[in-house]
Amino acid sequence: MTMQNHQMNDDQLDAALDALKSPVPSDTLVRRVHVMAPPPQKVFMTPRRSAAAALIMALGAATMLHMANSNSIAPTATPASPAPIAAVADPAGEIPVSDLALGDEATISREPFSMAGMPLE
Amino acid sequence: MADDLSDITDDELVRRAASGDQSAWAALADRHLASVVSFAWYRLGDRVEAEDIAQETLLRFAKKALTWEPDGAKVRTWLYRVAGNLVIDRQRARKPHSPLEDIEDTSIIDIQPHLDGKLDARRVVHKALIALPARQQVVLILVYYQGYTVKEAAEMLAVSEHAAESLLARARKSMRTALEPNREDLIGAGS
Repeated sequence: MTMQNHQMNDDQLDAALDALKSPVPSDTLVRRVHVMAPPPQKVFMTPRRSAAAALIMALGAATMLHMANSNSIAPTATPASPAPIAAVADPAGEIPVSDLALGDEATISREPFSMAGMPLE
Repeated sequence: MADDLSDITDDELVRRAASGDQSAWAALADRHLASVVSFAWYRLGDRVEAEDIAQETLLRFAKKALTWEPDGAKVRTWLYRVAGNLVIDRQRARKPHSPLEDIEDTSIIDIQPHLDGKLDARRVVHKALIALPARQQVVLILVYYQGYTVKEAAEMLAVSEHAAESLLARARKSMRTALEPNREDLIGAGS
């Protein structure tokens, strides 16, 4: 009956808590975890990518050189303008002009596209 | 090798591990593995489950290491949070009356197989511990069993230091109340 009036003091509580000791990790677990090292990061410049990058740089340099050399020379010909669609697609003029329309403001998609051509979410 | 890395910060070890340094990863794992196992064990009372959780936690961290930002959360905080969530998942998956029944067959009996009185004391204490509300339980484990300061525990729980102190005080009070019926046995076993 008097037991209920005696609360455990701090030291007694600590002693009771001390009875509980957690286990240490097993050797198996330690070995398993050691081999979980992060996967090596992928190297961006593979030999093929290096070769492709070098080719692009060479082409770019050649283009720049060509443009620099051709600045003083007047263009000798104007770019060819594309042929009218109707002339190509309907030489006999049998298809109504409205059916040849490739698109208008109402039919052009307003969806934004990424560089890869996929719709952006 | 791991000894040479003992003075290096967690963030630096993570950076090295992410760049393929195996010894840095081993040092990082050695630094935190025991704490994570211990944390999970105190909350579940099952050594096998505690090791499973520690393994899963470290596995997740190995993936996270590749994008780890040194200015973000501390490594240990991240590990404890993941381990804590995994503990909750295990607790939810358990049957209502299964937790303590297996203790004798798994971890505690592994530690002191010959001390019957001590064994009972441990079961009583653990039963009281896992009956605490989760946050009180975590603060008590972190501060009492794992040696963190109240301030560090507060950071890990994302609460104020004052709130952590309050949680710890309530946890100790609840433990006193829960252990009171076995007071004489516990004091005898602890002395």
